[in-house]
Amino acid sequence: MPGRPTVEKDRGEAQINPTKRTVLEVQNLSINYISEGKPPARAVENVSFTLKEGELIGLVGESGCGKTTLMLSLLRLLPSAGQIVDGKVFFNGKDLTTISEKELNKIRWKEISIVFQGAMNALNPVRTVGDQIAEAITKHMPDFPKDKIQGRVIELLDLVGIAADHKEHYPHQYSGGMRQRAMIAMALACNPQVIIADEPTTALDVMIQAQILELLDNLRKKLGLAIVFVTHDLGVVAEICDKVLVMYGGVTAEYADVDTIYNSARHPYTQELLKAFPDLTKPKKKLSSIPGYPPRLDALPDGCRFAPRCPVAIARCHTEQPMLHKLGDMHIASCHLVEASK
Amino acid sequence: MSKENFLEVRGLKKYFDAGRPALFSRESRFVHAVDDVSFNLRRSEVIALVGESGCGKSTLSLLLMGLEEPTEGTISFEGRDITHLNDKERKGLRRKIQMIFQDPYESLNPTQTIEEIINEPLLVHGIAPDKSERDERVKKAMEDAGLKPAEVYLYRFPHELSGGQRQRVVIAAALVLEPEILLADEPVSMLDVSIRAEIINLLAELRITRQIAVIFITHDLGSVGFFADRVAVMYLGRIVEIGTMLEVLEKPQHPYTKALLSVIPVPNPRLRRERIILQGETPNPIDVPSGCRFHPRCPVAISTCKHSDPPSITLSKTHQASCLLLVK
Amino acid sequence: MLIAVAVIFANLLADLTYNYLDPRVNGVANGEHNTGPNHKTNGCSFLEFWQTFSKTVSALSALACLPVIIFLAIFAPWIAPYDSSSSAVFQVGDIYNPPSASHWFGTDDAGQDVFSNFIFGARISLIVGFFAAFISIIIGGVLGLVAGFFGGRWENFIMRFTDIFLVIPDLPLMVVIVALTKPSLLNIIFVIGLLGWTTTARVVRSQTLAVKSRKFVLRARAVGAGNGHIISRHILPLVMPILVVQAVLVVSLAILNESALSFIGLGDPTTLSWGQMLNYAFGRGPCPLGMVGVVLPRDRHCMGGVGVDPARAGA
Ligand SMILES: Nc1ncnc2c1ncn2[C@@H]1O[C@H](COP(=O)(O)OP(=O)(O)OP(=O)(O)O)[C@@H](O)[C@H]1O
Ligand SMILES: Nc1ncnc2c1ncn2[C@@H]1O[C@H](COP(=O)(O)OP(=O)(O)OP(=O)(O)O)[C@@H](O)[C@H]1O
Ligand SMILES: [Mg+2]
Ligand SMILES: [Mg+2]
Repeated sequence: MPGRPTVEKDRGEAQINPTKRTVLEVQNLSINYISEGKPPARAVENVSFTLKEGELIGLVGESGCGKTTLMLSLLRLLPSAGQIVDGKVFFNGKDLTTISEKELNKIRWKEISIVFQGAMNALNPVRTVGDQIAEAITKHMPDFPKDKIQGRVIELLDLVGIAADHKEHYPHQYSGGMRQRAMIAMALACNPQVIIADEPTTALDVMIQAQILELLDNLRKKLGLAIVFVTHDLGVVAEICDKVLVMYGGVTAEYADVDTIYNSARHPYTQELLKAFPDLTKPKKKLSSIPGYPPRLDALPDGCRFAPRCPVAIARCHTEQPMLHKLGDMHIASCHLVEASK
Repeated sequence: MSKENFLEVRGLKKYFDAGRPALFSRESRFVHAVDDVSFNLRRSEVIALVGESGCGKSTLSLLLMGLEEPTEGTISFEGRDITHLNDKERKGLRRKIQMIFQDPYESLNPTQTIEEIINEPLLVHGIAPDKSERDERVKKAMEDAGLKPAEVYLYRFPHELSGGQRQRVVIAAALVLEPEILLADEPVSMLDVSIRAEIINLLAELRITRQIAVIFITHDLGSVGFFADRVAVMYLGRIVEIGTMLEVLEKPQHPYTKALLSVIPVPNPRLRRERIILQGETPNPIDVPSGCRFHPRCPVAISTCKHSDPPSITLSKTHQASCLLLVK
Repeated sequence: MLIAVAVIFANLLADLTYNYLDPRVNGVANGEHNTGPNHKTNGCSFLEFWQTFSKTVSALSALACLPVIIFLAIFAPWIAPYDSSSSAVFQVGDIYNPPSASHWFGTDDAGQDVFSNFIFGARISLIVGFFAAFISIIIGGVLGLVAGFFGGRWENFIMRFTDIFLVIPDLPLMVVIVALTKPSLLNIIFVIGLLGWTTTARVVRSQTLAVKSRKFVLRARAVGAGNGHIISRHILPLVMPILVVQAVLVVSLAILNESALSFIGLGDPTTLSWGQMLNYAFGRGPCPLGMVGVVLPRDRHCMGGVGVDPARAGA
């Protein structure tokens, strides 16, 4: 049956290779949004993950759960209200939360670059795409030889699968998928080691989404890039990720390699998310949804942030915040029930 | 009246004028947004209309709603031709055919309260002139759409609701007229995955409780698979394959359908499979490729595909596909 | 001085409201929106507008001034220390007095109290301002709405017509018309009103176009609503805020135009407006001691913050 997914020789097995070098390590990062006259909004709390060379990590969570906040904080790009209150971000052994702004500027974009959420809609409409990529190159690498810039632009466009003759076109002549590719090309301008892609496929149709996923997958194979892929769609990351970090309301719900997340998830939120996903291998099954809404940061519940929506919550969940429980080498979940069953 | 001709679409075309290619050229060009579409919808049936962005799905739904004038072709409803109607006849028909729009964030007027929004169709049609009766209907529609208890939401403004709740308001505003057909244009693609299921379940339920026929438009076959009776796959303004849900999902015949099915994300890395990723995007509907319109992107195209437009091949009583490779 | 506050207030209010409207208008105009579940809409209720507005101290204090001016205008006879229309008890020693306890702003060539004249002048200026603006807003609003909503041939016709009006320099035309007709208050109101609608029409048209292309208008149509219903329930409520801003701007512009006309001697000779005062101050030779009489009204033109000061241009 061509349409149905078929089990395939261990393509899905986690490709986590212990010998690979760790590029980015985030330890217990917490971020608050401070506004006058209000208690600080705890947008991100105690999140940790590691990213190795050539690895692709999926950061999954509902809208407003702090994904963008977390990503911006890695490069200290948060708006002034957002402050890192705790934790460390190591990039090749350097702590990005403490180094000087000048040193950080050497890392921003050149070592770690971001494809911002919604950036593809923010291309300057009156300048050609090639021009804008060239600008990104000169802005971040002022010493780049002027005569080689056009060649580099073509090279970058080629890398993301856009024909060179589209260089002179304006953003409105690009489709959504092409604009997203152009944004990725810009992020690649300085040969970074890490790319953070913030919801690059949201609002694109499934075929374009598959194209972008394939592109990212190829890029990391070809260039050895480490990629953080932010999405709200658990199904998307299953296709290409090595590890998945599921966030709920600013905290880590579960963090594990991709196989564990999809086949033996322990956190009820992950389990519910998976159930909400339409599965073509089991058509005619009624979808289940998670009733309720994510917590508001200004009115966080006392206990577990997921407790009000959790189908299996016990009394303790409503009063006490769960700790991060280590369930295996590479598996962390924050749930009281996990602890109880241990 | 036979069950077959509830809603019947024959050879529907919509060409938008795209202006002249150059300042002095004579002929103006056309966007072939919908190009010869035929299908029929039975009472309380759910058809999923699937296709990539820009293939003409929204245009087709606007044509069915009478919000755009078709260039050619006919639409008939309960045996009556409704292709061209005057304002008064059209208004009467609106009670029978309603639509849910793609973007719940844009399709509600920010200055109206929820009560005003859902009441509006009743006012416009002069249904239930009695205020208390109207309130009753508004409440019923809201509760049917899952906004329970209605009182909580009545006097809120759209920006005080979440995306899923807004989509429910849009659905309630459509239901209040008690339509027989509901056109849902990508009702969940703007919503968070965790709330998508709610809206889809709601539509599935309505179809049973209210016997409403639904045309569910989406680019993600995965999201409707389980409740559609039939699936129509659209490519560049034309339906290239249509069949019952199981036929299309299990035995897709058109290479485009196969590709579409293969890229649906499966939330299980153990089931990773070879994806057929079509390169490029839906070609420009201004210059529709000659021959089979899919041939430039088709992984299995043969030379004849360039020249001859494939006819619709009947594979079973309910299953048709347009591909030259199927011609025996 | 008061009018300076009023005009500054008007500009402030306009800026504020434009800022408030901007993201909405722009978001629609370029057809782009942050799609996806993260799409956050701009709140649009009056409440939110008010919340932003009330946080700005200067805007609030300005808002407080407007009723004061209107109050002054209405109750002028009771507030003004002297009756400006009477010149019965006037002696040689009364002309061109410097400011003093009894004459706050001094006295003018006719021995009249400048402060009282100033208060009475507010009446005429406000009357002309409001009525002329009313006419402009009605004409501009209707034309803009029709052009924006119905489009096609109507739009073309109306917008070309507007363009013609827009390129005619307002002030000279006003001068000509008022000079040809009798310079009465009514004529001035009509002339200013009939010539001042163009920007309103353009602004309303572009806002209408933006609102019309929004999805909820299409949804209303799908539900079965007709043009009348759509205009009154969906277009107008969203055009209204911009119309209000426009109204405030037009009022201030009309006041300035009236001053300009009066200043060059085309005001209603039987009334006393601020422009008229300026005219007298110039025309009858200001005395060094009476400078205040000149400076005050002049001052407000400077502070009016309007790029071209019509009064001085006329002089
Ligand atoms: N400047 C700010 N001040 C205060 N709170 C903020 C600010 N920016 C974001 N927030 C809040 O922080 C939380 C996390 O926001 P963030 O943008 O990181 O979410 P996200 O997971 O990226 O969501 P989305 O999927 O919608 O992009 C949200 O509840 C948001 O309201
Ligand atoms: N009013 C119009 N004038 C000109 N071209 C139009 C108009 N409306 C739609 N089109 C074109 O018709 C084609 C089909 O558009 P349509 O909106 O129906 O696509 P769709 O399948 O709904 O796409 P999406 O999934 O992005 O919503 C597109 O190429 C579009 O640019
Ligand atoms: Mg985000
Ligand atoms: Mg569409």
